[in-house]
Amino acid sequence: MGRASRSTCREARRWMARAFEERLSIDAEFRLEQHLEGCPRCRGEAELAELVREGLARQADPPLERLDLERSLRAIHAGIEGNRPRAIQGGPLVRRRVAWIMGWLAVPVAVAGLLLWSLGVLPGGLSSSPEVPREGERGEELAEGLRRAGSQGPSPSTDSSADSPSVGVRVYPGLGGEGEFDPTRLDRVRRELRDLLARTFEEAGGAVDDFLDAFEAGSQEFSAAGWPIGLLVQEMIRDGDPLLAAAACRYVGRHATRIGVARLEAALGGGASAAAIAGLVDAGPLGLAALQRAFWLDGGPALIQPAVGDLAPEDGLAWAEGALERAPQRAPQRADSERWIRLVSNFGDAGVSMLVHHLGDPRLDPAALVEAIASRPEAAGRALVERVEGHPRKREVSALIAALERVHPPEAYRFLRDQAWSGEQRERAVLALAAYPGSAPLEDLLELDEARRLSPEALAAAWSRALQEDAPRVAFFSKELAARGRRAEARLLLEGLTLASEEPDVGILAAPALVALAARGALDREERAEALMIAAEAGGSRVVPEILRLFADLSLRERDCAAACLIALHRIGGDPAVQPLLQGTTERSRERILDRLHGSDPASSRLLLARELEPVLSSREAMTWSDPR
Amino acid sequence: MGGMNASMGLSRMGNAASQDGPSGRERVWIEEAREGDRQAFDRLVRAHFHGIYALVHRLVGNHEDAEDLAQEVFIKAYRSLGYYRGEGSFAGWLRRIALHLARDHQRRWGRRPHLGSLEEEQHPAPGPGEGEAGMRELTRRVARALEELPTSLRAALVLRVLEGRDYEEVAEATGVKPGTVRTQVMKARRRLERALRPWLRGDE
Repeated sequence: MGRASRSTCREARRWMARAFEERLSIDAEFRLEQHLEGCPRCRGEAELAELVREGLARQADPPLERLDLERSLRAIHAGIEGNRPRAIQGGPLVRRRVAWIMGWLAVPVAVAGLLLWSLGVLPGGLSSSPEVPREGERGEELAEGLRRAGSQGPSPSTDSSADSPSVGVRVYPGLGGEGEFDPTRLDRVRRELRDLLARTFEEAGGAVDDFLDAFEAGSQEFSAAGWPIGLLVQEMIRDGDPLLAAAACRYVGRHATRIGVARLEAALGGGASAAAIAGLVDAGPLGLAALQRAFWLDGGPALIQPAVGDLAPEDGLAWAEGALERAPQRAPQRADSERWIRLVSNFGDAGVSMLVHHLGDPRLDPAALVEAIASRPEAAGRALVERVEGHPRKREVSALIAALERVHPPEAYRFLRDQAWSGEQRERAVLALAAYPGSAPLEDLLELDEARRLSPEALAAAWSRALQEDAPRVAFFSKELAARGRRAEARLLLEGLTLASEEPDVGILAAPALVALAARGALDREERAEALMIAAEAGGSRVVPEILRLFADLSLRERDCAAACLIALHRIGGDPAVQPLLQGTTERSRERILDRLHGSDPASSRLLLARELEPVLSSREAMTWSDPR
Repeated sequence: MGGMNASMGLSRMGNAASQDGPSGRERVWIEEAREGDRQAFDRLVRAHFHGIYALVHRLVGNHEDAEDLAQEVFIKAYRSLGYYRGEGSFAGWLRRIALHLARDHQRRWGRRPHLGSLEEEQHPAPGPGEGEAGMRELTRRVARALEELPTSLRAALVLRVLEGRDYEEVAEATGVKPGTVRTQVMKARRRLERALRPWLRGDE
C-alpha cells in the first residue's frame, strides 16, 4: 500500500469511529466508501463496526406505551409524602424471583419433611419408638473428642467412675466390681508421693528416670495393697498437681500399655495436657496414633507441635503424614489445613516438597497450601517441576496451576503453556501464565489472543494479572513492540491493556505501558492517540513523566502524536500542565493552542492542534520542560 | 458499506431541554416547585418523565424496574430541588440522578439488565449473513454484550450513541469530562466488536 493509501486508511478509521456515533458528511461518507472498495483490511473493520451499529439500532425501543403517566404521578406524590410503596422491593420482578426461590426451596423442604416424618422425628411419624434415647450434647473439649476418637484400647470414658465425683466411695471395675475405693487412703498416698517427688525433683534436677523411679517406689505401697497402679495413675493425672501429673504421665509413657495410652489421651486438653503429650511421646509407636488424632482437636497442635518439632525431619514428616491420614472425615477446612501445613512447613525444604506433593489432596484447603508453598519458592519450584513432569492427574492439574501462579520454575513453563492452550483449566492457566516472569509469557498472551482463545473477560484478567505481577515488565514489553514495529501485536496489546485498565487499581499500572505503546513504530496515529488518552485517564498525574519523555522524543513529523500528548497532559492537569511545553512559542500561538485544548471534540481538536504545533515542534530546542521526578 | 449511514438513526430521542440551563418557562416551574407548588412540579414531571424512563429502561432493561426508578428519580429531584442551581439543563440534572439510581439499583440487586433475554438462543446460531434469523441473532448478541458492559461504559454508550447526545451532555449526566466520554464510548465499541468478532468469523 502506498503512502497516499496509508494516509487514507488512517482517515478511514477516524471516519469509521465517528460514523459509529453520528452521521458523516456526504463528502466523508463518499470518500470512506471509495477507500473501503480498495482496502480489504479497513473493509473488514468497517463491516464489524457496521454490525455493532446495526445490532444497537435493532435493540428494542423502551416500551413507552406501557407507561401510565397519571399513575406514575400519583406514585411520585406518594413518594414525596413518604407513602410510596416500593415497587423495587416488591415489584413484579422481585415477586417473580421470590416465587422462583420459594418454588425451589419447597422441593427439598418437602423431601426433608417426608424423611423426618418417616423416621419418626416429626410428630405422628412412622417410627414406632418415639422414645429413642437422644445422644447427649457433644462438647468440643479435647478430652471428650479424644475419648470418641480413641481406638487404642478401653477408653476411660467407658469407665463408669470417670464421670463420678472425685471424692466419695466408688466401685473400681478393675477389681471385679467388688472392691471399695477409699479416698482417705488415696489422700495419704498422694501426700507421701508428692513429697517424695518434690525431693527427687530437687535432688536429681528433674532427671526423668529418677523422677519415675521415685514415682514407682512411692506407689508400691498402694500397689502392694492390691490396688492396680493404673488407678493411682489415673487419679494422679486427674489430680491437678503438675508434679504428680507429670510423673504419672511419664510413668505411663515408660510402661506403654494400651489402657495407659488411652488414659493419656483422656488427659489431653485438661490441666495435665503437656505431661500427657510427653507421656505419649515416651510411649513410642503406641502413643503416636493418639497424638496424630489429638492433632486435629481444638488446641491440639499447640500442645503437640513442640514435641513433633523435636523429631528429625524424616520422622516428623512421616508423623505428619500419619496425622493427615487420621484427619477428621469432613470437607477440608482452612483452619485444619493451616495447622497441618504449619507443622509440615517447620521441616524446611523437605516440608515444602511434601506440601507440593499434596497439591490436589482433597483433604487440604488448596489456597492455604499454595500460600505455604509460595513462601519457599526455590524448594517448591523443584518439587513442582517433578510433579508436572510426572503426568499429574486431572484433579491435580488445577492445584498445580494455582501453585505455578505463585512460584515460577522455568522448567514448568511448557506445562503451563500447554494448559493455557488446550487444558481444561484454560482460564486459570492463562492467569498463571501472565504471572510468569519474562517476555515469553506476554508473547504467548498475544498469541492466545490472536488465536481467539481468550474471552474479553479472560483477556482483561490476564493483562491485569501481568500488570499486577510486574508492571514495568509490561511497559518494557510495550516499548519493544513499538520499537520493532510489530503492528499486529501492538494493536492486540493496546486492546488488552485497554480492557485491563477498566479494573480498579489496574489502570494506573497499565498507564506507562500504554504510553510506551504510543511511541513511534507500531501503532498508527489514531491508535497512538487512543493509547495516550486511555493512559491519561487511567494514570492521571503519575503518568505525566512518561508522556513528557514521549513528547521530547517525537520527531517533527509526529505532530499528531505531539498534539495527543498535549491533550492528554491537559486532560490530566489543565493549562498548567501544558504551559511548560509551550514556553518557547509566541503568545499568540500559545493562546491558539490553549483554545484548541479547550475544544469539546478532542478528535477534531487534535487535528487543528497538530497544525498549530508544527512551528512549535520545529523550534523545540527553544522549549523547556522539567521532569517532575 | 452502503448502509453505513442508512441505519444511522440510532438517536431516537430528541433532547428534552436546551443545554444552557432550563428554558424560561421551565425555570418558572422549578422556582414554583421549590416553593412547594406541586402542580408546577407535575409539569416538570410531564415534560421529562418519558425521557428519563427511556434512559433508565436502556440501562436496567425491563419495564417494571425502569418505571419504578424513573419515579424515584423525580421523588429525589423534588427533595433536592434546592441544590439545582440552574447552571446546566434540568434534563441533564435529572439524567445524572437517574444514572446514580440505576447504578445503585444494579449494585444493590446484583443483577444485570436483561435486554435480550426474551430472545432465545438458537443452536446452531445463525450466521450474520443468514437473513432475518441472522439479524435476530445479531440483535441478541449485541444485547448480551451490552449487558456485560460496566455501567459507566454502558451509560456513555446509551447516552451518546442510542440517545444521540453530544459529549458535553453525556459528560454532564455522567459526571466525567467530555474527553473521558469519548474514551468510554470507544472502549464500549471495542468491547462490542470484540464480542461479535468470533461470530462474524464463524469461530463459534
